[in-house]
Amino acid sequence: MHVKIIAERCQGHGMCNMVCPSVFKYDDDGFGYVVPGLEQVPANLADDVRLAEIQCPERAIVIAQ
Amino acid sequence: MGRSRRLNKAVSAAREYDPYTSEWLKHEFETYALLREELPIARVESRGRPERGDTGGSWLLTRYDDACSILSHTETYSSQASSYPERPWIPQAIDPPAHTAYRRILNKWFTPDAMTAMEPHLEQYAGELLDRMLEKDEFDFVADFADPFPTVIFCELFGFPLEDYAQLMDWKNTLMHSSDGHSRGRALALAKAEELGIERDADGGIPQDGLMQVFGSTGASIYAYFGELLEKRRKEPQHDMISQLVVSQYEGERPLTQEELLDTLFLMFMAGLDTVASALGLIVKGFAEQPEKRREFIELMDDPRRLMLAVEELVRYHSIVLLPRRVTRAVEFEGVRFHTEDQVNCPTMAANRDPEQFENPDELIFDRVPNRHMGFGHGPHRCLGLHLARRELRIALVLLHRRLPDYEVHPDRKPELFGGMKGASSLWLRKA
Ligand code: HEM
Ligand code: SF4
Repeated sequence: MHVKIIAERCQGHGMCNMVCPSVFKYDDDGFGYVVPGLEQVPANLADDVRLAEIQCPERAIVIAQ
Repeated sequence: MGRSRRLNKAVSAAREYDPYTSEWLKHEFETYALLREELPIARVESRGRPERGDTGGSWLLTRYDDACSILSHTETYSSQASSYPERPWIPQAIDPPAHTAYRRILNKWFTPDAMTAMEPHLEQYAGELLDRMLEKDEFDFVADFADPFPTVIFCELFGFPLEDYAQLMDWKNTLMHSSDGHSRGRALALAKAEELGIERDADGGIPQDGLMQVFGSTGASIYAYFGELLEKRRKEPQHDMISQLVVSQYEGERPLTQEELLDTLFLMFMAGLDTVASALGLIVKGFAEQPEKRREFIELMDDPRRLMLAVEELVRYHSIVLLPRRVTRAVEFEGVRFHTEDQVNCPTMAANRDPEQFENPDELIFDRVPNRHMGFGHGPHRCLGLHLARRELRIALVLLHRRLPDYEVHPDRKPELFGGMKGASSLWLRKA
């Protein structure tokens, strides 16, 4: 499972960071990003990443298998 | 009810739309639901609130998807949609690209990490207020907790001197709550009108042009006060956001002008003093009236994941903000023609109850997923303070219910609610 945030869509609601802080961080400009190296999601975090994708109010998180 | 009767009812509801009264709150969700079904993009003929720049003759949108679309397209739907005491305030009434530059300055002070660092202080201050409040068997939750908690925290963070707290609250209430059901706001506006020699209208209220004067005069006092505050911080910087603001650079190119500084302080003052207080008042009123929901909340509140989802659901369910936008060019939207200078209003309380987006929207479902609510807005203007607001709500609700699991609305003292950017101005509770 592979995850990314489409920067143009992200508005920094921070939902991803609340749901799965190990994969999604939050930068000083106020936007979310995927921690480098974790784009390929470890199996134990897959459920949390899926929840973040569902909860993002701007639909900015994209998951590919 | 037959189809056409419902449509007729919707048409007249749109004609009479006036969300700025406490009366409106009695049927708001029912009316939004009717409009969403029959007239999701409704022409409203409200007399408007000229003193707030609401000129009437506008559109009311009650569908979630429509609201998202409006709020994301800032070139066509401008945030500069009101009249302002001096200039449009920053950043809420400014459109991109300037908006982006201002937000870049402000965002870094409101990150989740920065707000998490404040949690011990939030807990300590909330605890103090609650202990004091709960020495009594009956108390006004708004006066004793919902108002002071977020407001004092905000003043500390931003650097508004705490000794001016009462004055700041009075200014805020005069500006925002002169005629929406908030009795203190009304009394203050009437006193100001008297001071300015404005005659009352037939109902004992302040006539429209008088209200404009009241706002102008109050706005001028606030601007003068902020001007002095900026001067003090320039001379003697403190550990607060005002001191950081005066040395901030616009696009790394130049310092902010005095006007920009004032317009930013003004918006922060309005956004920081009212919002969490309003949400808390409404949430706790709901819990007082629905003890089974309160018990459900108490059961889940020790599980951080469930608590986080529950707070989001409470923000959805008790949304407080109306979101007006101004149309900048003639445009066709979902089959409806908008004209330049039309107002488009997307109340978050309507979008957040759209059954297309939220199953059983009128039910509080603490573990609701998905919950892409827009209680904190949508698009580039999403709430700057949302990481603070979430923490304040979470901490306040947990600490309150640990100390006081059982309470009810005081039988002899009715809650006082206000419309517009809605909330509770008084909520008397009694230990059960
Ligand atoms: C439960 C509490 C709160 C709610 C429901 C709320 C809601 C909102 C909403 C819906 C917007 C979007 C306005 C628009 O699109 O025109 C907004 C913007 C804003 N909020 Fe909040 N807010 C809350 C708390 C706070 C707090 C505590 C602060 C400050 C510390 C704050 C500061 C702001 C600012 C500065 C903006 C303007 C952002 C911009 O235009 O870019 N809010 N808020
Ligand atoms: S939840 Fe969505 S919009 Fe919010 S920070 Fe994460 S990716 Fe960005």
